Amino acid sequence: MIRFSPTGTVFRVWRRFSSWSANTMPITETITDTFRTNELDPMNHRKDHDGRFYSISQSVKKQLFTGGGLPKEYKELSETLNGLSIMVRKPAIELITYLNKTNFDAPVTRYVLYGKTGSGKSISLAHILHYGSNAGMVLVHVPWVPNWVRFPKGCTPSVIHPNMYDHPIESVEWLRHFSTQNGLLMQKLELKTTETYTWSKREMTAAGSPLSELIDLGMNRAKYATDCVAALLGELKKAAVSKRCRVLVVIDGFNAFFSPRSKVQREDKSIVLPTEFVLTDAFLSLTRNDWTNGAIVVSVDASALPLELRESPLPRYQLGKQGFEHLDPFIPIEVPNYSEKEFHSQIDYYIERNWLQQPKARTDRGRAELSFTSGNHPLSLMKLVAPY
Amino acid sequence: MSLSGVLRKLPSFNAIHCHLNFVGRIARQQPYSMYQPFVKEPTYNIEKLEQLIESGEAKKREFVPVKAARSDQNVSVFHDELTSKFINMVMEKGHKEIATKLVETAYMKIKQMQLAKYYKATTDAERAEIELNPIVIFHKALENCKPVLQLTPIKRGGATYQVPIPITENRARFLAMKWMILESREKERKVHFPERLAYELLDAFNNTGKVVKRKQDLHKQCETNRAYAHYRWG
Repeated sequence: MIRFSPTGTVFRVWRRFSSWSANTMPITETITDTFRTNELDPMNHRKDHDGRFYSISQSVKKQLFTGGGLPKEYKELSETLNGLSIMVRKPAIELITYLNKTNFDAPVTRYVLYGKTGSGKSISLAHILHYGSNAGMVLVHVPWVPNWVRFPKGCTPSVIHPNMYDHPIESVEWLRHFSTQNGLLMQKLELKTTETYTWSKREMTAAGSPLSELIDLGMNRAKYATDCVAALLGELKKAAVSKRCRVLVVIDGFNAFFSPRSKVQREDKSIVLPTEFVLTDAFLSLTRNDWTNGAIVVSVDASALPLELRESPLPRYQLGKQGFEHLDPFIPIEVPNYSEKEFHSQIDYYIERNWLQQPKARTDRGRAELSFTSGNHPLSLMKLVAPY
Repeated sequence: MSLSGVLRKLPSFNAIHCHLNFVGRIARQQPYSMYQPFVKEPTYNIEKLEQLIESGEAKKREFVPVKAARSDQNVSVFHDELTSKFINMVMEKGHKEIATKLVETAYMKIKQMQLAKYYKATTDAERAEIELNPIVIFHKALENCKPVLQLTPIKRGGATYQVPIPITENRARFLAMKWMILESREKERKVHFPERLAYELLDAFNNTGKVVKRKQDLHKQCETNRAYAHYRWG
């Protein structure tokens, strides 16, 4: 079957094997469609996989993304289309190439993904998360920072740190998310604490006790959960430097840490800044380049900040002075709109999965219309295709 | 084509600035259209236009005045006239964007529900039976909801009788859409309009559900009032 794009490039779409059932996502069988790839391990994704979809199994999806990481609409769509498939795109390929060639004896490199809202930053981060999981790195993943800043479920003033605020519920959730993502790996690594943590007169975690004990304490005692998170991040940093493990830090919406306001108010109704959260302090300490044997991948998005600060998607504007000075020097990686190849690949995927139903829309004229009206913008395309 | 030649010249006042005194008179005496009777509807479907050009019809229509296209008449591959009409009926207070969003969300939900069935089906035969295109489902659902007769009140000897009379195509389509929208606007509102509309459309597609029942009740009433059918002619 030969199909032409509006510019005249020829795509050849092969017939699928008749044994392929529409029920199961093709994982083991050979796929010869131009919009898919057989390569299911992100560690091997290279330039020639650009614009192709690779499928992620249910078990990996459950392990990595139960606590968040995939945007809500994308996740729902993947459930409707009977399986999670991520498009391999240039930003992720670039990051994977860098991560494969990193000298882990040097101080950690910070990578900042930037781009318009809805251009695919969160999905690229999800791809990198899968890479880190396959590469045996300990994943420190914050799915969406604005959830802590804009919709906190009950901040309490911190006991240990004066004038700072705890997130008891969010910290428990995060520790649960961490243990789901890194459960098996942590069992294998058997990391131990390097110092004693005193929680109260009777409760303490001695030096040399396993890290899993620290995590369990945090999950069971919401009062100390935030400080457990801070302690855990400190321990992971030390463990990375002493080469007991390799750490990959992935944070989505990092610029929310430097937002000019949050939803938390003191008794006198004055607004608490995100920099006054204990969690912020912990993650900012982790994203400093004063440790080795790790990598930090962060995204900045306009939708992470209030409405009046969404003029530009660029990192310097989104991070603000404080954020920029914290992250500088970093490697900025742009996540652009779809290229022509990626666009056609996305439409092919929607057609194959029976999502784009309108017969006229599947023609070249339909593709040209969708490309024009969406501007090749991933989120706009998803919204345009959704009803039809 | 000059606008003044195309627009209807209504007597003794400017069409745009009309006195309230004259409105009632206009409503009773003249139709609303601001166009003169010979002005044609626009053809905005690209395939139809190409056909007209090929067959030579286009040449004949070169100097015929044509009405301005409405803002929802477009050449998009997603354009569907019936859906446009339906969106107009869903719309309240001129909020077209909200109405479009509601109907489009309903279409998306229809797709989601049908795809769930599709991916659960095990045989090719089962999959072939499941209709996935929401526009096709919408058209079939409306067809299933259209009544073939309607009742009209006719007064005879002091009593008012509900008399069954034939129904025009436009009226039938209107009633089907109206009932569909009314059934989707539940009193309790826990399940929102798009989701309810999706369920109603799917039911009507399968010839079940509240709207089809309403049509069938109307038909039954017409059947029971068959005796009065001659009242139509006095």
